[in-house]
Amino acid sequence: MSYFKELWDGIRTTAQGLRLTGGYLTKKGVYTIQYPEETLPIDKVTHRGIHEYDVDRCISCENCAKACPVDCIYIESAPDEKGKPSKGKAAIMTRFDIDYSKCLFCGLCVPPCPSECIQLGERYSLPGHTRDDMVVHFHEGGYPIQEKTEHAKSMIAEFRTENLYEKKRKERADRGIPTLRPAE
Amino acid sequence: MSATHPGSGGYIVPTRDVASEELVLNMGPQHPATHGVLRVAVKTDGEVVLDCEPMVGNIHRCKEKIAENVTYVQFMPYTDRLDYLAAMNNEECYARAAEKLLGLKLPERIEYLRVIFAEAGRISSHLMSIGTYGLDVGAITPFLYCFREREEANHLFEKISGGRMLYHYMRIGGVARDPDDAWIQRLLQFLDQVEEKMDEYNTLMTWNKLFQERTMNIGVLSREKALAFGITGPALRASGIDWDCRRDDPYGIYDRFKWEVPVADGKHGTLGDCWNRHYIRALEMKQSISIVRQAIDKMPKANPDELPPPESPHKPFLAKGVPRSLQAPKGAEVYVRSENPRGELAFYMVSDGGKSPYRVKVRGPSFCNIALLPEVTRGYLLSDLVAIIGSIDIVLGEVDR
Amino acid sequence: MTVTEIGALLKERFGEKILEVVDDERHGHVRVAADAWVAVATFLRDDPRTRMEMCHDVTAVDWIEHFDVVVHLYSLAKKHKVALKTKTPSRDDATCPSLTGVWPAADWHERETWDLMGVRFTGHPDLRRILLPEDWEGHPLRKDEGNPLEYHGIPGIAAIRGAEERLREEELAKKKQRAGGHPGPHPAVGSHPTDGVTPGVKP
Repeated sequence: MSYFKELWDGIRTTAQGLRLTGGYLTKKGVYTIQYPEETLPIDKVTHRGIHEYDVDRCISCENCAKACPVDCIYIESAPDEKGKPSKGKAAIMTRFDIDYSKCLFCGLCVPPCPSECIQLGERYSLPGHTRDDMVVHFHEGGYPIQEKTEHAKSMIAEFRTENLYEKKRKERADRGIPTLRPAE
Repeated sequence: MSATHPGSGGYIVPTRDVASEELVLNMGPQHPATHGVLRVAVKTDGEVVLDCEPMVGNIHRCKEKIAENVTYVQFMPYTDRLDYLAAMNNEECYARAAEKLLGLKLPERIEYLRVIFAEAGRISSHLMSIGTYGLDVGAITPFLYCFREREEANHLFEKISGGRMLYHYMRIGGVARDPDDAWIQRLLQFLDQVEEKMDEYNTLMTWNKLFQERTMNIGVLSREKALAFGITGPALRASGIDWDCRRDDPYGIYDRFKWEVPVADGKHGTLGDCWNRHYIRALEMKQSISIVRQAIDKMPKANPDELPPPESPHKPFLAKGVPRSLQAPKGAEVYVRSENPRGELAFYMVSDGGKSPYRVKVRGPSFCNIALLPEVTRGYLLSDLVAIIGSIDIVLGEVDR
Repeated sequence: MTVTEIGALLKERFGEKILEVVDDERHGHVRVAADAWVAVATFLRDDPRTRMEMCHDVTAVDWIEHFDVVVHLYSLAKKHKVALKTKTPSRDDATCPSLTGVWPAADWHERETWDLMGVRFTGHPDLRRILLPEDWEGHPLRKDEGNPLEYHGIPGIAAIRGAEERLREEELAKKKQRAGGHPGPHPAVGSHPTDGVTPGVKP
């Protein structure tokens, strides 16, 4: 007898489940998206994707590299008159590489930056065939920064009044450093 | 050769005098049912598991050594990668261990935020466990339904922390960002949604006869064995032991909330079987929902004297007086544990007065729980092994560390 | 029971074998002589006043001259906890009696401690490596153990600063060899940070 009872229980509970899933046939609502064509909306303020970096505003203080838990940021700046690497507002960056095969996307590099020239952006796709493809050369531009804070905006205004952007562009061009980012 | 199958309620594995011999099978490391890169060497006789041995360490990266070489703050993102399905809970435990070591006091609001996020993380993690357990025993629909809800949890966490899986939200002495009212409202909606859909999972899985046949009386873990092997979390409570370190050894502010600790009573199936472990998780989600609601009700506003708003949106939301460079007193050591979705996670930290910890030991609950796999699988069928591994619910990031 | 009470209980029973009782708010522990290690553990488990049913964790700390083996015990029935500590005789003779016979839970923890720290637990039935491969040399959590930079032809990742800085110096030197001031549009091409790490370099 218990065999038939178990059989009946199996049919009954499965029918309950089928009724539940069947109910979704008529309900409206989309839970899947066609990924490459459609993408999920991304929170522009908080999302931690590939970095955005402003090469002209960087003062080469290396605070971000020191804060990085995996040491994936490589910074070098051109020598100044005394032959030492240039620091501060006049710094000319010759290298700002981030190795995304190591990066944790933890965001610890962002808070220590005094000039707020580095932040995590909304891009997340970085396919490549080799490990070298994972190294992004930010000093060549390529990932323009979206200003999020008042402090950053005031810094930009300061740089503009002192004509630092143009000066730096010129100097970079003299040294033969490519700048992919269009002039403002 | 004949073998009685202890979990089949009297059914006997077909017996006929056919020649059989022991065979060692490798399950994994690339096996969908092992929840990651776990390799189980199984000694079988036909379909019956005679013995098995979990071979762990495939994704070992020695995070404990890394911890000795980075600062206290820099180790926080690594804790996300321990139990990557419940990153919030790991962070919470590590932050509490580091704060205890450094002697930091937390403002009320941060304490409440910790509880809210840890419990929301538990709901998100249990959704994953329940969904994938359905997948393990052959039901695809619950997995899709659970992911529908987990997707909303991912959106919520992304909105506040920026990450969908590895949040890096908790910081030593604070959190990354203070949630606003709109976010809290969305969290409450999410809780309502999960509570409503809980019945669907139970209809599809818990009370389904076919699911019960696959899981009831399988992988029975007795009370004594559970204690002796140091099992913690839902697996311990499924064996009938009334222990939850949130209630019995309260940490943080868990003593301010009222909730019930679900413990298996053996009314359905056998005490300590796969079905009970699954059902305890389903019940725990309900209690977590209740804790989050209580915490949101009681949460005070931020007092700017002890918890100033961050200067810029890039900066974390930290309590006043948290030094920028953290250094623990020489010779200090702590052992802090917390109730994670998979058991009790604990951090043992020793300081020598430097900027990085002298020694960090991570006691991963999955590591201790998977150690007893041979004990619970002996004598069951090979297909039950999948159900048992799924019900113990391991995450290999934490086993291998 | 507090750690002081448990310590007093143990002192009464074991006398001089209990070396130190520290009832710290952070980490209360009892230091035990190594020859009474198993006896103290068995007593704590079986005595009705302590009833430490759960062995939460077994681990070791490297103090250069010796290793400290630390066990964290909890009682679910009595809701109290204590940590036990013991010293290995020396760094070269890093041995400690095994607790596997008292709590089966200690099995994997002791294997892990042997694997990563190199503390040999005498009386352990199956002391093998657990997380690392069988042919691994050394015990990575020892303080004098460097970063392995090569394993079966796989270059080790330079997660530790010293190696990383060395690498940058090497890259700089390579760049100086090239003509001109600017290193070229792709300075990282052909020299990934994990390539070119010479084996045997300890930071």
